[in-house]
Amino acid sequence: MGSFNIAIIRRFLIIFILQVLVLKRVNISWEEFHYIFLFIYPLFILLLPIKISRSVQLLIAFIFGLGIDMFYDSPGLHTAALLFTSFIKKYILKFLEPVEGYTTDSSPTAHKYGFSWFIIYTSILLFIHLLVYFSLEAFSFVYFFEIILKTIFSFIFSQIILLVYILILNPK
Amino acid sequence: MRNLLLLFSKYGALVLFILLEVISFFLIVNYNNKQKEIFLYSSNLFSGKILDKYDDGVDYFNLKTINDSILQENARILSNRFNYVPENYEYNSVEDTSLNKYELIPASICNMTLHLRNNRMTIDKGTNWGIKDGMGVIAEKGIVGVVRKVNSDFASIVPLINTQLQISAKIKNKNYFGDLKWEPYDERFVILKHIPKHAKVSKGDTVITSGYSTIFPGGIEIGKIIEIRLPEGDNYFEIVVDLNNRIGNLEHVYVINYKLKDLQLEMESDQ
Repeated sequence: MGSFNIAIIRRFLIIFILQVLVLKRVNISWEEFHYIFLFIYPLFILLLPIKISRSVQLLIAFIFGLGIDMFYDSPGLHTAALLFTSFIKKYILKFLEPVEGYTTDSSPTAHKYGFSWFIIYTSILLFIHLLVYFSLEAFSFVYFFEIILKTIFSFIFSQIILLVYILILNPK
Repeated sequence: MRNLLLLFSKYGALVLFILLEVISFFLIVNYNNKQKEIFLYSSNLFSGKILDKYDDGVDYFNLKTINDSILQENARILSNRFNYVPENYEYNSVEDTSLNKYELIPASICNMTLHLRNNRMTIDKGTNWGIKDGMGVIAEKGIVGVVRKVNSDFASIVPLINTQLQISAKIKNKNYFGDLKWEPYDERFVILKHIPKHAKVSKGDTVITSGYSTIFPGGIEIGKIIEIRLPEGDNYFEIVVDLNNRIGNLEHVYVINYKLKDLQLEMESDQ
């Protein structure tokens, strides 16, 4: 159990630092095209143990989101989106539940449930997260087209980064 | 209490989620300029629309008061026109009566006939408002008539469309004088008489008050000439004037109080 918590804390630090120090500075845009933003921090919430109390998970998401926001100079924006993601995580997990069910006290990782399952799982939640985030960023559905474009392009590139992360570190 | 705790343990995550989301939205709206602007703008848009509708409703109740105040304001502005003071006017004394000769009293028409030979009109103001016998009555676009009978709250007016009324008038920029008289039964037209036939009068000329009476100040537009007739063997034109005011449509009129009237009459009677 102790080593498990340490693993979570280490993941917390790695993802946090990766997000605010590296991915934040990556600026893929040219001319009129500025739709790509890289976000992998939802991965931290996605990798929290399945059987963790939802309230605890929400509090963790809140603190983690505020930390991200602090570096992005957008108080509340990432937090709101991340809270939403962590709230619906349960329903997505239920929807994707394997026949034999989830083993207790484990994180939903590619290692345990297979790579394709993991891709579907992260894709759904990451896409929803980005959609919520960009909607909140625009804060008005007047920019619907822009929100969709940003979501799709950011989703593709963020998902690639996320999978690279999983392939390199391959959490248990 | 136990039920409450059970409820919370069941929906605790949802409650917490909503609470934390509210906090984040609070942060978003308060510390992000763009979102703040949009939030304020759309909430203003929303509340603005509601207030607008509310105002529309409430305005109906104020219409009468607003109407009255507009009439007062109109009367003041119109009287300014008659009390015109040249720019370099030298003030002789503190109470220079020539500066404020005319005062207009707004009034509403409460009764009127249109189809008789001698039509009458009644307004809702009388001596209590300073209206006296013989005062002129005008509307925004021209003259209406003359006050003939007053009591404390009402005044009876002989309008232009009354065969007994005769008003001195002239043609603008031409200085020919004549008398306006109505011929039954068309409320739109009056006849300008006693314009000599050598006068160069043309259709479309404007007829104005002459100012040679104590009833109306000079220069108030009355109407436009639409027909010029010369009866055979007569030396005077009969000019049909189309009135600017449609007397049948009027609701509000202004009574002209010429403050120097008594002085002028006194002067004239001495001669």
